[in-house]
Amino acid sequence: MITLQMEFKKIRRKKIGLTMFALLGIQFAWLLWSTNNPNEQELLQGWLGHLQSQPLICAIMMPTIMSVLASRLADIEHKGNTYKQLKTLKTAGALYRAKVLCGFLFLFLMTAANFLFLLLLGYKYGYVGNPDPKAYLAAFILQIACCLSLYLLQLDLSMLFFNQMIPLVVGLCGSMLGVILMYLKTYSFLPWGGFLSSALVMMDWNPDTRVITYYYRDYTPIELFAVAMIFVWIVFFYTAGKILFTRKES
Amino acid sequence: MKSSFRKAVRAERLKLKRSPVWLAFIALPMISAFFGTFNYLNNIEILKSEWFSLWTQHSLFLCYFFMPALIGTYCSYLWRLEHTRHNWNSFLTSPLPFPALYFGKLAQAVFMAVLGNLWIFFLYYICGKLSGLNSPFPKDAASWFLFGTIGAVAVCCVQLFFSLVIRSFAVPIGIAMAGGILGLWVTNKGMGLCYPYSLYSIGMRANNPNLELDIGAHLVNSAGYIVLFAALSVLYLRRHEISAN
Amino acid sequence: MSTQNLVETHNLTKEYGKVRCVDSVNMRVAPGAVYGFLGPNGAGKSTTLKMILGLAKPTAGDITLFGTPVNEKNRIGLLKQTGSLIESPSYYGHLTGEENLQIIQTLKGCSEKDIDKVLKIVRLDEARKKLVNHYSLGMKQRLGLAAALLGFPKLLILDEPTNGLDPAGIQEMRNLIRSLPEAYGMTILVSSHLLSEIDQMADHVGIIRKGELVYQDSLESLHAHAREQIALRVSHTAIAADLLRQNGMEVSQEEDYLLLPMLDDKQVAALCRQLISQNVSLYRIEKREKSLEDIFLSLTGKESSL
Repeated sequence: MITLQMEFKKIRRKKIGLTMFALLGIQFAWLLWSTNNPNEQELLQGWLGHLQSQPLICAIMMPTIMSVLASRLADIEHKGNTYKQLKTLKTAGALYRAKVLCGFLFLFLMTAANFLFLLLLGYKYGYVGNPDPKAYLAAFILQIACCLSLYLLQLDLSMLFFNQMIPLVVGLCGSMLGVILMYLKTYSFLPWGGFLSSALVMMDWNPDTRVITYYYRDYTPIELFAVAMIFVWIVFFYTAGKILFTRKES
Repeated sequence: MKSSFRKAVRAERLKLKRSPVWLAFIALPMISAFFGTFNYLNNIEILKSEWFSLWTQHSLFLCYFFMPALIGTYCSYLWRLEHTRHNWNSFLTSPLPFPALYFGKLAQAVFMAVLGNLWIFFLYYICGKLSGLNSPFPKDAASWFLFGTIGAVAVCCVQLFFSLVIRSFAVPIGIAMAGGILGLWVTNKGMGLCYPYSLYSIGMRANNPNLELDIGAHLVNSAGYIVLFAALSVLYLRRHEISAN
Repeated sequence: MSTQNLVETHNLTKEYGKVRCVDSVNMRVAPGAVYGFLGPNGAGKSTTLKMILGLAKPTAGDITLFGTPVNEKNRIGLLKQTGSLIESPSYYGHLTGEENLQIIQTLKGCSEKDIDKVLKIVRLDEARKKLVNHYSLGMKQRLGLAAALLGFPKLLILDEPTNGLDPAGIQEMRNLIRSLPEAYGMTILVSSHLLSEIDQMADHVGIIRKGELVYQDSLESLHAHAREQIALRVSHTAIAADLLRQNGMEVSQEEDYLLLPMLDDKQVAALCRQLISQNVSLYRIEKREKSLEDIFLSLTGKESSL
């Protein structure tokens, strides 16, 4: 717990919160732009529509946003050259946990803000009916899980390398993969495919009637496995980080 | 004056030894080209304009999101060399004028942006040929390359400034990505030529190869952003007492 | 032969917000000197040196280097003749020692052969092709010195150059610095918070405390103040003091001891006879040396003037 407090002390005045919420703001702007002036069809299906578009926006932006977050938190130690000292304090494991927790808190708050915004937007536009609480809760949890798996990957990379170029390029490639997977498939086992796999709502566009229909995805076993993979990645990256960091010779 | 600029550029090039950062400029456009071509071939019934259609598939995400972010990453790396290990003291006591010191960094950024753009167009050509496009390579591509590069220089100046004043490596990259995404919206509203990130994407005719570019406006605005952010950077170097911590 | 000071500051002052880090410092560094800039941590040494190099702008006062005022116009000309190692050694870790020096050599515009020379001087020749990330702290420090030496500038400014070195490394660095004026005609301005270090390296010293320069003179003079003394503890201190003063001796008192300037054996014997003849009993006779440390402490620890 003390290490977590220390972590917060370290990040004071680093304006990490500001950075994160600014990036979130861009996401909001995108969301706003894509849902603006809903027509009758869109009002009817608005609540479902959110659940369809949200994972896609995340797939593109979150790999980069998580890489920025992880880099910020890890870089404090690189800049201060404190990895050496901290390791000798036998608190290496505790430090890693603290960074994980700290980052998790940020991404939790961001996701909460995100979903709050979705709700506010829906009510403002006057979407018909109410959002399905079970679906929204599930989507909320899945988004946190996906973000966490990416954050852990990026944290491991940022702590491993002094040159932050490497983890950030990985983040950018991850975002690019997010775009590509979006076009190609409906699920993926890769960490960057997590958002895609966990999208609860699918879209069907009829080119003749030009009508968009949203519907809940009927998960096939393999798609369910893909969702489970998100949690496997979380465990994998966390374990890898613990091992790497407690073993790393600075 | 000129010899000091040459010295600065040479010194910067020496600093980049053993920094395989250029790999990112190779990899990302390759992924994008590969996928863009794949998408083109899959939708060839709808995408009937051959070379122009292929370009829309190659360029949209690359020019609006990923190249600005990549340029941002590179600019962040250039200044990170000085932000770490107390190098500010050594950097600022180099017996060269501040504009020369800045130009050394800018030259590296622009060099990488130009190479990146060349690579993008090379991939475009190869992918087109491999997709069986027999019509001649669009002559307009020369103009796309030229104005895309000019726009890229503007993005380099903006990002170099942010990376100079913000000590964090990652934050300016977030700015670059956000800037690129906002560029999509700004272009949509018709104000693209006023905004540095979209000067790049519009110059490249990203997603819009048929665009008749207002060359005058593009050149003037690009020059404006280049001069403004270069001046701000030099001013910052001159005035600011940069603590090496 | 020019007697003009190489470095001169006039009422040099630096304020960060309301805190005055450097207060009206009038530093004088003569050509060819090894000037030891001494003071406890946080006294303003690094800040002063930064201002001399143009890394920080004075709030008040001015600086002259080689007879030229330090300002934006003269910046480049002055920096060409100055080598520095401020705060910690700077380096690019992913490059070798040699490559790091090549960068400095390119920026300074000096000859490539200089790299070989300075590497030999700091004895890093063997490790020149090793990545600096793999250097020990001592090696990084020596590399920093090598970088400062490139171009063999007229003025060398070193901020705590022996920081983090082991005793052997400190010895080596000291000897090296001491040899530079004669070997290459350099003037050295070296800062430290360790008196012993300055004592062994410098020939002039400036002591700074809380931003103020409280002493500036040759090291010899400082030693002169650290004179040996005789200390007496007697039964009738006042009477003894009067008696001694009548003999024309400089007497001071410290607690219940009387302090006299150093005397030879015959003088001491005569003194004792005299006191005893006046019914003053002698309890203790000691030889005291006011150490350099004491002088330093008195200068930097409490209000004092020499």
